[in-house]
Parts: sequence; C-alpha cells; structure tokens
Amino acid sequence: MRPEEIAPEDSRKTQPKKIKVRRLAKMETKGWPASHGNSN
Amino acid sequence: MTRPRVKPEHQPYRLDNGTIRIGGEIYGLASEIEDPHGHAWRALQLMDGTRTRGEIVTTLAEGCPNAAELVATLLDSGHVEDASAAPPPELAPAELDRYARNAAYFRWASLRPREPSWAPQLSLKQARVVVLGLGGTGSHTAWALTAAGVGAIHCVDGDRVELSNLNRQTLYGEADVGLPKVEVATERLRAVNSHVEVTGENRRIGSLEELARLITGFDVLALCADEPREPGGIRRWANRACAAAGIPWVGGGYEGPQLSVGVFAPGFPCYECLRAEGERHGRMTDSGWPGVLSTSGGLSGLLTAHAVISLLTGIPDVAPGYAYGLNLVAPDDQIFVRYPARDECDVCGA
Repeated sequence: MRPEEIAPEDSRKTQPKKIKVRRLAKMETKGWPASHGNSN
Repeated sequence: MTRPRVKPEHQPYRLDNGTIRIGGEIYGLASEIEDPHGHAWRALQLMDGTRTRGEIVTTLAEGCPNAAELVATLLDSGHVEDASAAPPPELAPAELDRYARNAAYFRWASLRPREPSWAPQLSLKQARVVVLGLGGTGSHTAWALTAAGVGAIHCVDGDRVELSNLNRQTLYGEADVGLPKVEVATERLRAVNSHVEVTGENRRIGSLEELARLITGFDVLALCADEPREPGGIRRWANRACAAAGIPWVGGGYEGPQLSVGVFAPGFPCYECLRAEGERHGRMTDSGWPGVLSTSGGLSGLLTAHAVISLLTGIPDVAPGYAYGLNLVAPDDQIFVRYPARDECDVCGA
C-alpha cells in the first residue's frame, strides 16, 4: 500500500472529536438555588 | 461577531474530568461541553472581549487543528456576546440608563446566537400592544409592559374604580374611587415611563367585530378581561380576531389560587383547541368566583406581561399554543399544557 493511500485515514485519527454544546436536562441542574440572588 | 466575550452571567467552570459547565445552573440555560483536550476551555478563556474572532482562532490553532470550527460552535452556543456591539441609535441615552437591567436580563436569559444585548429592548420599543381589561390582572400587565419599555400601549376598560378593587389593582388609590379606570391608569402609566406612548379608551368590547377593529395596527393583544365569559365569550373573540389579524395574543387570569396564562399565535394550536382538549382532561375551569389577593391577581398579570415580552423578544423562544401557570396552594404544581390542533378547527386546523 502506497503512503498516500493511508495518510488520509491516519490524519482522521488525529483529528480531535468535534465539540458539542449540550443543554443540561432538568434533573442535571440544581433543584434548589444556593441563594435567592438579588432582590433589589 | 467582532470581539467575542463570554457573557458575564454565563461564566464557565470545569468539572474534575475537564468537562465544562457554562451558563450557570438554571435549567433551560445551562450547558455542558466535553473537552478532553482542553481546547474549548482555552477558547473560552480567550473570549474576553479583547480579541477578534480571527485572533482567537490563530492563537488557538497551535495544537488545535479544528480551531475555526470549535470557535464557530462556541459563538453559536448562545453563551457568547459581542463586546464591541454598540447600543442601537434608536435608544436615547436616558433609555440606555433606564433599561440597563433589562439588557442585562435579556443577555442572561437569551440563548439566541450572536444577538446584541440591546436588540430585545429595541424590539420592545418598536412594539404596539393592546391591554384589554385594567383589573386585577390587567393593571399589573399594563404597569409591567410600561416599565419594561414597550413602545406603545393602548389600554381599554369600561369600568370605574371601586373600593373593592384596591386590594389588588395596582394602578389605583383611594382618591380614584369613582373615576374611570382608563383615565386613572393612563395618567399613572405615563408617569411611570414617559418614553412609552400610552393611550386609552373608556369602553367595553361587545362583539368579535369590535375586538377585531380594536386590535388593528397592533402587534400583540394582552387579554386581561373575562367578560363575556366562556363559552363563546371574550376569549373566543380574541382567538378569532387575532387569528384573522395574524397577530399573537396572551390571555391571563386566575381561578382562586390558580393563576394561568395562555399564549397563542397564528400557525400554532389555538385557544379553542387548547380549551376543547383541556375540557376533555377535566383541567380547564372558569367558575367566576371572585376570590383574589394582591398576590394572585398580580402574579397573573405579571405572567401575562412576561408572555407578551417573550413573544416580542423571542426570549425565551417557546413555541406558542400553550397555557402555563402556578397553583398557590400546591407550589409543586407548576402548570403547563400543550395540545395539538384539532383537524376540524376552523381557526387553526391544518
């Protein structure tokens, strides 16, 4: 197998996984706020 | 986006495994980013408003082959704003001062990608809203929309102030008993916010046709009147008039300790569909008993105003065609109902 045929696959392996921004589900957020925050 | 900056209210932090939490801890805003290589964390640190997008990508590219894609993903996340965005010229300096907390709120609560923080306020300023009914619900609605900076508010009510109104109707005082509500309310609202065009009509709405004429030229109807009652009353008129006019509407009120608001717009399931399906489930009630507190009436009005603001700004961007509310005798019972449109509905049916 010639080097140029395997290079693309190797380069794919070194690519970091595409990042994803995932919204948290209701159960993953705190059920009770640590404080009530502002009141002004 | 010229100079990306992570929103101050959305500051990220890292869990022990490197996973990023961003957007605080509030459900609906908070997000998580898996970041095994630390590239996303580094990108977020670079987004402090001092660098251009290109500079961030260039700095990040050392060791991160997909830096441009990563930065684009973060800019689309709703957690990043443009630090170089100037306020729109349509908002006067006094308005920028008055509405500074609004802008901070919208920035916090919005996940609309790349939206300038003053854009929602400009949307409010450019809006025209009818508030029909200035009682326990509507007096709070009209006040809240005026304070928030809706550009034009048209108030409609045919009643006079009574002593028994003063336990809950925020726009009136003892000296106003006997005066037309519209007269007192418009004067108070103008005193609250001179940037808002406040107009009013001392009248009752007696038919679907009258309501249709009333809402012509407005962007949203806030229905805070309850007469004529259902079936076939003012809410059905609102449903039909607003559908014909192609505008959204919000209806709010209380049933004793249960407060609710319905949010409707063309292209989504309408009030009549929601009511018909709700009655099948035995959840819709409309008894007309008069019990109400300053708190229950006020909350119903404020929820109504908030729904109007949401429709005008898209924050939060929830599809219309639902009712939600609070049950004050069972705080664990937050109400939310949404049903599909009925095929046979002559207002919204597909």
